Amino acid sequence: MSADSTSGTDQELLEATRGGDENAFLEIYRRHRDRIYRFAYRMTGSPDAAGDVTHSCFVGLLENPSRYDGQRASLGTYLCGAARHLSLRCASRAWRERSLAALPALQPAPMSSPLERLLEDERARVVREALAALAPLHREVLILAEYEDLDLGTIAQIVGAEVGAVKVRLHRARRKLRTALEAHMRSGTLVLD
Amino acid sequence: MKENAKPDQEDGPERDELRAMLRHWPAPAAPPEIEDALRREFRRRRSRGRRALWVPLAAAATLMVALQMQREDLPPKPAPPRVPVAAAPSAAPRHLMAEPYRVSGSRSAAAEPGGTRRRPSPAPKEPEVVVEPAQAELLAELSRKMWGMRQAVPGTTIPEMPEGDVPRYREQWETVAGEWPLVEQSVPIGGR
Repeated sequence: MSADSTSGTDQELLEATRGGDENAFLEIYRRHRDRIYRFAYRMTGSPDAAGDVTHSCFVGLLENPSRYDGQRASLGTYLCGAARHLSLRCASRAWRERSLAALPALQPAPMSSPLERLLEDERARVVREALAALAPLHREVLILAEYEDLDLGTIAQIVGAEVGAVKVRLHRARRKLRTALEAHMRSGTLVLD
Repeated sequence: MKENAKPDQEDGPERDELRAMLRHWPAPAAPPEIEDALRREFRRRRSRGRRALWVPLAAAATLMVALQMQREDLPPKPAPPRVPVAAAPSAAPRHLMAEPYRVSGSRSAAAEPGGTRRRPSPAPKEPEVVVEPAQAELLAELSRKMWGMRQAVPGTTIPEMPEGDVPRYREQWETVAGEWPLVEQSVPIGGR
């Protein structure tokens, strides 16, 4: 792997990818894969669907690299927008077909007992179902803001809305999620650290 | 990326509490199969792109070669039609010229020695006109007259006979019968 293939900016790597540089393309993938996969996983609730979305995002970049306009947004924002579009398409199907068996085996925390692991799985299930109960437009802004720590302007670019609209959606999403999780907190299912 | 450039205004204990709850659902890392699949996809597209580049190049080269070969095989453009100029009338008596002679360029001059037949060429280079001596003189005279007419009135064409003339004569046969030079009135018409 050459040094130029991995040390340039996203734009330079994209140009090298257009010229047939495989390493440049894989470097783009490695830079953005985690955010894209995490976002798709939380949007669809399925690791298989998240894998499909991530794969399709980067294949789309191969197919139509000219669709990305570096003047409008960063490559990460563009890829997140593509992942959002693909996730919304398959979200309903993925959530319908979801099952606990499809959930990935989480890495157990060190020195965790079986009881602790059981509790952690239960908390994850509660949060996951509370997120799934949100409307997709609320879920996506909440995931981007709370899990990916993106600012409102970037979120607005990804979801294709005004910053004001994103603020409103985020506020409502938090309120609904808090309401949904409070019930579990009162029943003792969700124990805060 | 301008991440966290404009932090959300809803920071506070409530948000921290919500964040702590959300952290209970971690996301796994992207599986390595995706990278392998993307690498295969990239190589497949790259090889297909190279093929797609070679196909039009090969097609263009083949087309150029074919055009060149066709250009070499084609006969030269035929000369504009000329009225065959008859050879000068021979001083020999007409009855001595048993066969018509050819008014042509190469073949007329080429005598066939020993009576051997020359293999006919597939594409004669000039149109061959075979006329008799008297016809040649007439054609030459006619061409000279036509040329003179065209020179006098450029663009003149021979007028065509209107199609309705002949039927009109046939329908009014009786009225014109007397004027017709070769037909007598006794010619039976329409069962009369």
